[in-house]
Amino acid sequence: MTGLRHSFFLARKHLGHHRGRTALLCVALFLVGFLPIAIDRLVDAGEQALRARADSTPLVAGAAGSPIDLVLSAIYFREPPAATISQAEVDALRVDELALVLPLVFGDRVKGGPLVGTDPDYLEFRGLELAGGRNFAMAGECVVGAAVAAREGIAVDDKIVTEPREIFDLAGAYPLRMRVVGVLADSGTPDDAAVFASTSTAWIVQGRGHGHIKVDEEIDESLVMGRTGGDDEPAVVRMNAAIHEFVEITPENVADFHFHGEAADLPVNAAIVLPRDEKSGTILFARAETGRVPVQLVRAAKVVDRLLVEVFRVRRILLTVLGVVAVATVLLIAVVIALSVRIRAAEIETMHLIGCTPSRVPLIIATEVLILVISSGLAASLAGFGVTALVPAVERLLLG
Amino acid sequence: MLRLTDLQFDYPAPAGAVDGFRLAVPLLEVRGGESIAVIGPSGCGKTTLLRLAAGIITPRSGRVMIDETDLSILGESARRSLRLARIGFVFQDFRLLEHLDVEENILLPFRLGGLRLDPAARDRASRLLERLGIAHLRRRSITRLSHGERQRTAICRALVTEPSMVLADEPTGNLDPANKRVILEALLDAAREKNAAVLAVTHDHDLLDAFDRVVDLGEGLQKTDGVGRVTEAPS
Repeated sequence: MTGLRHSFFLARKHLGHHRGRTALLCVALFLVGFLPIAIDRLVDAGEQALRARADSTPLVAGAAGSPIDLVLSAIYFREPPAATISQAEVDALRVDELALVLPLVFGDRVKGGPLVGTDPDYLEFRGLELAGGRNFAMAGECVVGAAVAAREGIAVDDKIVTEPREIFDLAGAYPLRMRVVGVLADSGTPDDAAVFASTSTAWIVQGRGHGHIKVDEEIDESLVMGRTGGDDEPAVVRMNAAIHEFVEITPENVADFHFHGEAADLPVNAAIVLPRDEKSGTILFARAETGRVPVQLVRAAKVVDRLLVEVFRVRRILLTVLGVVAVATVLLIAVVIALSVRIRAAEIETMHLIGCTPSRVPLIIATEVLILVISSGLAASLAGFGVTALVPAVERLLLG
Repeated sequence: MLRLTDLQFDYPAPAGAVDGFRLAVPLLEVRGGESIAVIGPSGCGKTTLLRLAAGIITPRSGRVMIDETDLSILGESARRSLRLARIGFVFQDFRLLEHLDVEENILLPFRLGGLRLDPAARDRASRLLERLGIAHLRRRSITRLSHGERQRTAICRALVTEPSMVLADEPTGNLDPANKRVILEALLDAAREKNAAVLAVTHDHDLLDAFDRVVDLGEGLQKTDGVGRVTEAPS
């Protein structure tokens, strides 16, 4: 034990004296240990999160196209799929009441999170609890996810404004100021980062519906740029549009909001379909496949399984590459240590001349290597555990 | 005490040459507290003599006795243990470990084998630091010492185990003229105080008066043929 203690002392002193080299070796060893652990943990955690979300989403309906894009869009509210289905097609899924159909209209953002237009039933379907307030009930109301509320300091009865769709398009859709009627409790799911409102609200934000300000009544005259017309002509009031940075739906003006075109044609990005039973699901699949309901209907879990097969393949390739890099790194470190032993020839000879035991020099060098390996390994393991905390961030990064 | 008797050591013939050389030392004795300077031209075998005396290399024939122990009958491991406990080394290039401070260098022998690094050892190190006038440098890095301070540190390291013999290879070779005598006298005084024998190789003829005796090794080398027969006796 005394020999080990002295070897440890000398090894520690030597490593401490050559701090730069020691740090480089530690970083190299740390990466060799950390990267495979991190990749493994991230993929595992990502897989669990993805699978759990997909498993809780029985069927997803959307336009023809990539099923993976459709499912990921529907469960993570990432970039909307390239094509949409119509409200009429959503209604077609509801025929015979074979399933509860939850339309999803998204693509706009509010307070850094996606604005999701859906049915109020969505919260119940996902098992989302309200930390305060109530569910949205009318256009212009919204329920804010826990993460958005915490990050932005949003509470019930606050007003939040959607992000402009096109900041330089004065003639386009204006941001909508929504009233926060509820705040969700933390659920540890992507719903925490979203803001939920009715589909009507989402369509209004998209510019598919709008209201009119009654400029001939109760209007601040400073906003009026000019009036023409008179008693026997229609009155034309020219307003300064630039000052209307947002519109707001209130119980007083909600009746003035309307959609141009057919309500059945309004676009829906995706719909979550919860069949009443297995038979209902089979019938819906048959209807989708025969074109009776012209949508793509997919089982979310199966699509995610197909995606995960690819992910696992990439993980295997990555781990193999990392394994080769690790072997090369370890060999390089062995060369560095061998060279350092040669450089330390005078020091080693001095120890032999003084009379050190034959095993002492190898023991000191082995202790140095052990210190490097153990400290790097510990750091890699700790960082590996820490990586779990990064899972939500990586999820957001990868899945939108 | 060190006693070399009928010592012969054959140098291997250089590559391509048939003839070799033999170092022959009929008798050399250094008593406790005595100091001997070994002089001679370069290549005459001075350093080899020190290595033989330390048991680092083994002779062709003859005996090396340290106190009552015959090195020739000891195995490698036993010779190392004896070297660690009973022999102190001082080198021309100091041979201090840069990653250790002054005190850690002095205590190095206790970390290399079977010697116990106990409070008594630490106390001896402190006394030697005081004795050599470098107590204030105890925690200083070796890289920040002058040559004179480095050699004082090396002398402390050689004496800290209270050896019966100190072997010094050009101990003043790297020092400036002003420091040479001071350092050598410090070594010899400290060794004498501990009753340690000193066998020192030196080129500094100006310092020979500091030693009790001088041995000229210039005549000790014999030329040998390929099978080790002496072909030319020293002149």
